[in-house]
Amino acid sequence: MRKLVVLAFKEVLVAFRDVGALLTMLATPLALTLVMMAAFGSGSNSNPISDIPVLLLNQDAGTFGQALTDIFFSASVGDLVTPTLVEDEAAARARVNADEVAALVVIPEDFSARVFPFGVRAQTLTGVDVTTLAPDATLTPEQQAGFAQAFMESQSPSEPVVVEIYASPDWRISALIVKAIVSQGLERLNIQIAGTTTIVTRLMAGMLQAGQSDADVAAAMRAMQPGAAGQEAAGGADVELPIKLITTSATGRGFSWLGYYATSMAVLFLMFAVTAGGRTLLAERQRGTLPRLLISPTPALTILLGKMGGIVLTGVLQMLILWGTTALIGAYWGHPGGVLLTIVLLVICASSVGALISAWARTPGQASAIGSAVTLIGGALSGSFFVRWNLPQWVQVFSLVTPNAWGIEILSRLQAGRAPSAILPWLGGMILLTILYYGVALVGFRRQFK
Amino acid sequence: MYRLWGIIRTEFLRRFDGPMAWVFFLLLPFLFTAAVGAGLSGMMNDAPPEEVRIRLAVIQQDEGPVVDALFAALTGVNFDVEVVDTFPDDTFGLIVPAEFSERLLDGDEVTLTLRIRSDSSNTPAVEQAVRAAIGRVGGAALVARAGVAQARDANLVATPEDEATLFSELLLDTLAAVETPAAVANVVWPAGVTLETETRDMANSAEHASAGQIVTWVQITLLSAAEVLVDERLRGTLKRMLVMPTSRALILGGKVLATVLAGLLQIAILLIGGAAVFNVGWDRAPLAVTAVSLAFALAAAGMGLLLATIVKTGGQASSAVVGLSMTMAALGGAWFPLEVTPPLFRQIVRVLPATWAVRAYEDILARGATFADVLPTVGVLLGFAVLFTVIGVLRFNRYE
Repeated sequence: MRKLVVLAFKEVLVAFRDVGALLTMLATPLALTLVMMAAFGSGSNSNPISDIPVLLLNQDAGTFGQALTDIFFSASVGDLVTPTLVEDEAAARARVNADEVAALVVIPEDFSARVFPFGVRAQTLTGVDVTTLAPDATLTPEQQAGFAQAFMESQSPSEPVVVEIYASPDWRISALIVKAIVSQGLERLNIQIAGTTTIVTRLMAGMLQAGQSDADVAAAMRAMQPGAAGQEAAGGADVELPIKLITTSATGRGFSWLGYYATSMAVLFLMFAVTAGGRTLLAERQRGTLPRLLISPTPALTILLGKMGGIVLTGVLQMLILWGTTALIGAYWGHPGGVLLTIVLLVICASSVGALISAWARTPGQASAIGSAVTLIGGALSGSFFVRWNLPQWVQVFSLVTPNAWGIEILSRLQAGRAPSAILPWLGGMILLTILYYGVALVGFRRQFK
Repeated sequence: MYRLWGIIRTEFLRRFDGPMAWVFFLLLPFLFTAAVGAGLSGMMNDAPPEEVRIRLAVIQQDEGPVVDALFAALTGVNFDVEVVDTFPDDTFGLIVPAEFSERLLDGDEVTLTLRIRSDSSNTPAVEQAVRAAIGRVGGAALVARAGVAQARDANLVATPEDEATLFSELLLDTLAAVETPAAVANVVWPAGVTLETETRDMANSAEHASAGQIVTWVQITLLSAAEVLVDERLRGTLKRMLVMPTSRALILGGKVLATVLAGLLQIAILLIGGAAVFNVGWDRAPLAVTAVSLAFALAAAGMGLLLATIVKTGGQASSAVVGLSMTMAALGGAWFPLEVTPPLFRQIVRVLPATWAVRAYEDILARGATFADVLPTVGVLLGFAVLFTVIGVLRFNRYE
């Protein structure tokens, strides 16, 4: 037992005295975690983009153009954008071309009249301005006919009016956000127009069927004006909708970019470290130190276990240091007991890949290259670089042949606030993978070191 | 010249001495381009693929008419709605409370509960999509309620049952009518910008991934000049070469040149592969692409030379090459667009060649930049190359 401990501690000392190994084990994962934190933020719902500079050119004199502009200054948009009203189109486009601003929103002339043509058409046909029509006004039969004709004509399908978002390619993601804001405003506008038209159709039909007075029909017509029925749904940028939404989670915790990348980078560079550790067995053979150890009165199994124990101990220490340092910058890894158990089992599982490569590689160089390649491929397929759940389903399933995938799955569950008992089936799966890889490695070791 | 060729040939043979070299040289860059392209597709593309749908488990406690409209709206924003009794562990969930429809008709507020997945980064997108759906239904409900009020004023509805019927009809008619919108938003890029492609669902993210992964992996290849030099130094072969009647500049130049040529070969293969496999428009400005690639290769190889004079062992060199390459690539915008980073971050990372290379490649792909357009960036990259090489040579001479 003492020999085993001595061998294991010697491996740990060699690893932690090597500047190159420390770069791989600790410095690089920490640096990459910090880079990811700088890019994506650290909060659970942090939005990395804010204060998008956007120019608004409202060429419309009507109500709808103003309503659309108001959206950008509303509380619902908040600090996502920094809007500026402009009047000089050429200058505004030049600023987009120079990448000074993300986008220019152009609300075209006669926007209100084109999206809601009834008012203009009714005035043309009857000479009556529907926006000033008194509720008790009496309409002549000609005016009623004109209103009806205007209504029918305004119902004819036409091409939708386009609000142009002139965007800089330097601000591609911001441009899509600006488009989403405009679309949100247009959605409200479209609901208002569709709703108002629906209401008036029903009211007019009902009133005429009931033989009601001209004044009532005129009142129905007023519903067509901006500011009447349905106005609430679109007019104000901060209109209170009757349906509210609250969010909850089963565990009370949300997703954290910092937490995700802290663990996924730790797992990735654990794989680098343990596969490099496995290589040392072949290096010892090449240098002649392994044969010297084998002729000593120490069983071969003790030597093998000592070396693997050292690699595992190094990996555990590496993970503990990364856990501690990333926790200092706010990364949450989960229930401490669950994390500790996961780290130990994950490092053993990762070491099985190192053992597998060492058992079947011919030279230390070959083992090193295969180890790095396996680690990087495993990292790409498992979600070390991008969130695992955005990868195709078949990739997620296939990647379970790597310890990276098991590590990310289990640690993500712990980060989500799950109890250690909830991860036991996953730990079981990882143990099975470990047994499988060590079994195959054993065959290779017997073949190679017989 | 013969000696220079001999050094270059030896370096090439050493570099490509086995199948694993090709794994790093080609397989991994292509694999990462695909993975990064897929990872960014939801962030950078205007039109995500139709098949990207999210399962939404719904506990339905109301059977009223508005619920069907809500389900239709949720389906319209790419949810697969599934009515359940209890929420499964691995899905987003929505609770539609009892009297949902009735309360909307009465003009009361009603609250839906969205249960998010704590382990999913999709939560903001899911929440946004649910809000879009309830915004549409809620807006239609407001309209329908206003219509019922007007009908009541005009004595067109007599009983609560009539009002409920009219409310449902107005709500559904409004939702049907809004499918033909009166106005739409459209993004227009400046002239010369080529973001609109036939395969636009992938093109933007694939372009960024292709440019970024070329920079990442070629940087690894080029920085590995440090590994070669350190290896030679540790084995003593470098010292033996330096005492031979061959100039120091020729030896050092040959080794660096071999690395640059390997990097350029890798860039060429990745450019052709990116165009063929991911439909990236690398053929838009061949001269500009060549100039940027050459300047970046020289800058990164110079950095490799400098690194060789800093690290002491092969292990340090190997770790530093991978660690530095990946970190600098990530910082320089090779993994994700720098647009998502704070302004100060964007300014600081301009000290890295990777930042300029990614920027120049993206200008060519997205803005249709020509050779003349990228010349300032090429100048900066060549400046990096001179700076790193001069410092590297000075340190090398002192070291050896």
